[in-house]
Amino acid sequence: MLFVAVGALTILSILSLGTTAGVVQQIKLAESLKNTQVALFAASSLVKAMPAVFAHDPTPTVVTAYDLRTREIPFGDLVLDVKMTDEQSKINIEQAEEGVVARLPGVAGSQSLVDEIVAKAMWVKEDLLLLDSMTPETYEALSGFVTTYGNNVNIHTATEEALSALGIDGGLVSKIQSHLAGSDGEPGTEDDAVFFSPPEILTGLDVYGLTQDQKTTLGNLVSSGRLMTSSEFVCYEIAVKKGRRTVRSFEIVASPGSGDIVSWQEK
Amino acid sequence: MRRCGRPNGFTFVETMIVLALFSIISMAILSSFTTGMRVWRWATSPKVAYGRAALGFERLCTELRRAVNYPPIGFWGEMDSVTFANVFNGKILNITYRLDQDQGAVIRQASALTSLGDEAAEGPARPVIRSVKNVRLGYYGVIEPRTRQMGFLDAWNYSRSGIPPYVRLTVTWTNDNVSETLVPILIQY
Repeated sequence: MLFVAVGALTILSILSLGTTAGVVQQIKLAESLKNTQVALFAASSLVKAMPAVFAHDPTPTVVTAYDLRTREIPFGDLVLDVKMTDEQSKINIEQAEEGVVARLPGVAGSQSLVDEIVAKAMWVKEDLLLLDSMTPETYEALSGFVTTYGNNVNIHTATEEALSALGIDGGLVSKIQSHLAGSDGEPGTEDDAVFFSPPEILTGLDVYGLTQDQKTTLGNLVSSGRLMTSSEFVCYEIAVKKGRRTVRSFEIVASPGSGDIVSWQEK
Repeated sequence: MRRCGRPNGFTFVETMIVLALFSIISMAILSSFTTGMRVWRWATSPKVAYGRAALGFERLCTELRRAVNYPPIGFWGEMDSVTFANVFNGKILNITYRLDQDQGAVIRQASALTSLGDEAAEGPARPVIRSVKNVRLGYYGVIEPRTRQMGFLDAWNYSRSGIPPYVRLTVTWTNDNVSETLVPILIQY
């Protein structure tokens, strides 16, 4: 008798729990749909507002690693964690010349891959994966250093690999990076050195005693517009958080000058 | 000879206790049954079906927002179907959503490109929004070229117009309720 009673009560409890879970699920669905809309609005508003933020920075005419520091922005009861990456810290794979492509990580030594990259139209970085000579390992090594946005490389944010791909030797890359890191030796901080215009790159680095070859290389890159001090596109990684919970994550590529969006990814 | 100890049979108190226990158990079983019936009715109710449909609806909106300007695939729209490109998890996807009147559902078909310049192999077609009577898509663009008047078009041609800034999605459910949403495609073409 007791077993029957306990059994019946267990079934009752399970059914009650089922009902509660169903109701909770409905509430969660409604909340998730609402949060999606709010997060979407918050992320797009932030990207549209960033040009105004950059314009009020101490260096409004250029884009530096310090400008792209991680920011935490409150938005009503949400918080937006924003990480920014300069697309111009990488090599534009669509526009790069053969010599530049051949110096990219993972590509060196594979002429068939270089030929394919140069010959084929690349609309998105993932097009690289569709090349016959591309392997997942090579893509893994390469993908962090290439983009399909922008026309030049920003010296303030350029990766060591991007500068090397442009033909700048290791010694000069070190000089550039230690100069930009400022007195504390840490890039992305307030004391970072700034080149306010491309011609300043040559004059600013001359104090390090550049060789004639280094001067020629830098001069060519600056005069051809391949090495610049600003950026056309920045990638915003935005995590919209409510308390500790991430409501929605976005990866948006947009112009830091106009806020125009060219790529929108959300998770 | 009379045996010592308890006599055979139940006392009045024992009978009452057993009856009380039976009543409690009967009530519990009855209550379980009615709760079970209620849960079953709730699980099969249109409300839940529309809840599931809302998730499919949201998936369509999310993928539309993620549309990529990828010329080999482009962006093509009709009143009851739309085709566009997404890049997700390192794959370039050719995605089509279309209304299937017979199934009463919106079907999603996605295929990943495997080589440059080739047509993607057709992926599996799956119903993602059910309980649908009708779907109508509208694409924001120039409706009157002479005056440049903007409005919602019934079809979209990528070669002519690129990517629309907004897609209007109107779903008529089987219970004749209508949901309408405006999906912004935020990339600049």
